[in-house]
Amino acid sequence: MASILDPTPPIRFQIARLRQAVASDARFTDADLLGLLNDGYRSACERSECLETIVTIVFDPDATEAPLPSDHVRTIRVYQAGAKLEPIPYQHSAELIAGTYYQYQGVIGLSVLGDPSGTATIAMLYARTPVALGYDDTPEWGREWDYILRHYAAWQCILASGGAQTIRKAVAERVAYEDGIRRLRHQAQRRWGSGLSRVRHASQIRVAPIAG
Amino acid sequence: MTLQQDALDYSNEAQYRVCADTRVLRKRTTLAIVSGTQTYSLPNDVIALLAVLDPEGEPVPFLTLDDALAGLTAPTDLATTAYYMIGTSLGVLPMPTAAVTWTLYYEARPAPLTSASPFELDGDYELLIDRLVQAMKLADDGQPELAAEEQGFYDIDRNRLRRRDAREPRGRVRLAMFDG
Repeated sequence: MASILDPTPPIRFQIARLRQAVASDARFTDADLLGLLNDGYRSACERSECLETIVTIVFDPDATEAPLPSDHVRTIRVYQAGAKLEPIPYQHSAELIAGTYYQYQGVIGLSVLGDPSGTATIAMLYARTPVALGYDDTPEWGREWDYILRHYAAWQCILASGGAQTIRKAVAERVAYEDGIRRLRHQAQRRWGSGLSRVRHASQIRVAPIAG
Repeated sequence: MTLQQDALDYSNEAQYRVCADTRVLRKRTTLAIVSGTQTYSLPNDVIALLAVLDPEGEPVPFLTLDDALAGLTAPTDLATTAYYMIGTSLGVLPMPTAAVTWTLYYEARPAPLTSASPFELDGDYELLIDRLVQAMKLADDGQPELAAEEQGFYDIDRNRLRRRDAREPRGRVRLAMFDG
């Protein structure tokens, strides 16, 4: 009786695809290709902002600044005590403008702590960078986006191989990579809102449509 | 039919992409909400939620992330339990104080394909998988022009199926799939 085959892990599958046409064993090691796939993964996640997280930041007593999370890419929203804070340039941080925050060099700061006790707590929604992938890992973004990695790595492999005749192929891979990021970003922006009623209070409840 | 590893891997990736492109798979699951826990991981096969129902079958209100952030940083004035989405997690506001089971309807990814399992998609959607596999194989064979041509046919067929699905009465087609 034949044994049942399972699918190859996604990163190993992408490497196998690259080996067929653009990445010979003589020129690229598996580690090289894993590095390229991770470069494409990180860039695609950061540019599309497809990985979002909410973090609560508690400021030390009387401190007006706190470090940003190590995986922070871009701040999307900041809330304090139920109110949205607006970003201001850090040059204006000393002007004590209530309801604002500023950022620089991995730090977030509040102009006014907003809490008489001398501490402050904020909730921040931010886009984060992904954890680097190993050979048997699965990207966080959903298996349908794995093909983007292959396009990026193929683009880089073709460029590294050199030669004017390969430029058109490299451009085609890059265009496919950029198109994938554009689609990923579009989905990230509409992912959870599609087909759902936006309801805040019980008095506003209406039946949510089943289909988007 | 026993698939070779190569064919299995291409078909597996293509099926994921076709499901995401057409959103044709729709599934139902339950989520156990427990007292004192605010966020819950969703199953890996969730692409997007369509509806969240409480035990009485009533829709649970959905909060935007702005509403959720406001509710997380101040006492909420919500008159009923609501939920928000962040990444692949579902959050509940206000903090649940009792156990309850919600029913989720969602656009789904397929299960990983094995050599012993059939495609979850059939008919025209299975043909889309074939087209995409061909495009991928041509690209990997160093024939990007032919691959782009095949990809173009895939895009045309995908758009045609999406338009067709949009025209079909949902009560006749989609709701039956929930109970599959």
